[in-house]
Amino acid sequence: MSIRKALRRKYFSESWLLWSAIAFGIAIFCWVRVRVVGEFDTSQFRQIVDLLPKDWRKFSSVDFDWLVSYLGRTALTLDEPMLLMLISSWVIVRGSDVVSGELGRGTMEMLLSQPVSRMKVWWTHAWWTFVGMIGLVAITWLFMAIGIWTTSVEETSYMELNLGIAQLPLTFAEPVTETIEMSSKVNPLLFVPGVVNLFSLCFFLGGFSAWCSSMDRFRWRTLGIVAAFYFLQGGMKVLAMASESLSWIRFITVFGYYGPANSIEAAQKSFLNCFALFKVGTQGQLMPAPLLNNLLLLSLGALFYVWGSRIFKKRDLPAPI
Amino acid sequence: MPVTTTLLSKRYRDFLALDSVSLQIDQGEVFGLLGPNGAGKSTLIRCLLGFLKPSSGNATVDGLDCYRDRVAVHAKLSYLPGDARMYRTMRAKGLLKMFAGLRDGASFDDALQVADRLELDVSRWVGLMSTGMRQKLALAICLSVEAPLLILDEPTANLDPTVRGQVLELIKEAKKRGQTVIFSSHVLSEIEEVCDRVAILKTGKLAFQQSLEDLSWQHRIRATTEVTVADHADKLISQERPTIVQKDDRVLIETQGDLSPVLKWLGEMPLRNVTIEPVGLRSVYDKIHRATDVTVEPPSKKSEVAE
Repeated sequence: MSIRKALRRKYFSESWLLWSAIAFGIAIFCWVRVRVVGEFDTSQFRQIVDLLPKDWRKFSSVDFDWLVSYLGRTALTLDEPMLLMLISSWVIVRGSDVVSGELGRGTMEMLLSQPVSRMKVWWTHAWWTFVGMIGLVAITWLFMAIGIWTTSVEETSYMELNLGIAQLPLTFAEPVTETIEMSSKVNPLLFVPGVVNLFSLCFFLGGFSAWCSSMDRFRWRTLGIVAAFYFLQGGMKVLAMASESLSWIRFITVFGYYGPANSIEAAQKSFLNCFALFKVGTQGQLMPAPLLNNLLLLSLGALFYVWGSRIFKKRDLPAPI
Repeated sequence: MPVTTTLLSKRYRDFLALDSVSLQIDQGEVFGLLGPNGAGKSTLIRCLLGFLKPSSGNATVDGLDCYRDRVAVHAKLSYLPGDARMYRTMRAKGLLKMFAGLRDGASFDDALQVADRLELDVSRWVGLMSTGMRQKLALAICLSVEAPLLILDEPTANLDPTVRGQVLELIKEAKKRGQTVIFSSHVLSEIEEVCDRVAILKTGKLAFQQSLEDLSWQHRIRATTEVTVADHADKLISQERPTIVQKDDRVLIETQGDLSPVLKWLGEMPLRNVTIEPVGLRSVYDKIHRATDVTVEPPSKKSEVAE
């Protein structure tokens, strides 16, 4: 058995249970979330949205009208805090484990006294985190798609009078409700750019957690730092959206580059939009587009992984306490 | 597998954990490391393993720098940590298999054999093992590898007397196979039983090192007398000069080498209540431990003391 294979087995054996639990949670959540979208008629939402104050629109990076469509509401699954918490917990837990976790548990010295380089330990650990990350993102998409394929929606409409140049709904008449497959309204393939954006965010968080871990010797402290960073960044995004004068903060928070609904909306308009670096927002402001979002998150994640590996290679490994 | 440290120091900010330690451990030697807690034993071992970057000086194993060439060094050694903690979510058997896979030439069957000898149940989850059982597991991982160098940091800690005996037997077997062993312990009798040479560290400095063979030739003689023994020292016909400490009528004489001329010399003096005992590691250790300065005068020419 090669050293790398032995390390992969080790990382698999210590994390498969965590991965399985998260994967199960994500699968159930995504499926239920899509089913719930199918339970409510989109036209009812449109009426509610029309009543909302105009100021509220700034909290959304995508058009409100698109957001209340079946596609928009399904796309918001990727923005759900529950989903983000579940998938982030994999990358944060695994990322924080690589150095400070092993040091804290006192298992690092037994491992590194074998003829195994620190780089091999670091990158094999990272490799398994990537694999798990890809698996979780794939499960997110798959169970959203399963939700779409297995959900029927009821659509209410009124008979329309054809006036030649326009169609006039006869709202005084009895509404007509028909049941249709959700898949006829929502194409699951449009979610691919959204889950790619989700993967990019996870990759960044994994790199950041591993970087924090590479310097630390206590895992609880690493987890605390990463969690504080996570919530701080989330708060900064809300602040940037709430206040026009503080909208620049969007560019210095990683969550400013996480906009799966944006990516899905862009893909719906044209697949080529997924490769744009910038776009014009609903308020006319210049906003990062899907490709820039993903590139920035992936680059920063890779930077943290490489930086962390250099720190780990050179640092002293203290005795366990 | 020669191990050398040259003026090896490790400093943590304003704390000097290891202070210019120079050692030479020869191929096939069982070398004991002694010292109170915080003396620098583990720091020295961690420098040898390349876990710590020396602040100055260097350490080599078979000519390879322990820090720069640490992976190559690790291929030549097997290490037992002082506080062996294991992956709690694995079974002992799985862990033995994993560690066998991490080293070319390591055998899972050998690890199982050692585990069996140490009376370890390998079907148990590591998380459900007692400290002693985890120590046995770590020993099975470490001692099943026929690496040219074994570094054992307190290998008998937490073990029952029977298994302690087994561990010491395994170390003796390693010596017979020509493996070099660095053995850190607080149990002096174990050091005396298996080591060829011993070094004592105190406050990061090498306070003392001597071969145990030389130490076995040193004796302490206690007696009471009315005469001043030092005045009669010139009558002793021997190359070796004894150390004489006399307070009133009580005298303590430390000798080295052959006892015959000393006994003849003592016979010519009016001594009473004479007792003769080997010096032993205990008294050397106590003497160094009590000394305020780590520079301790050795009772033998062959022993070396830090400047």
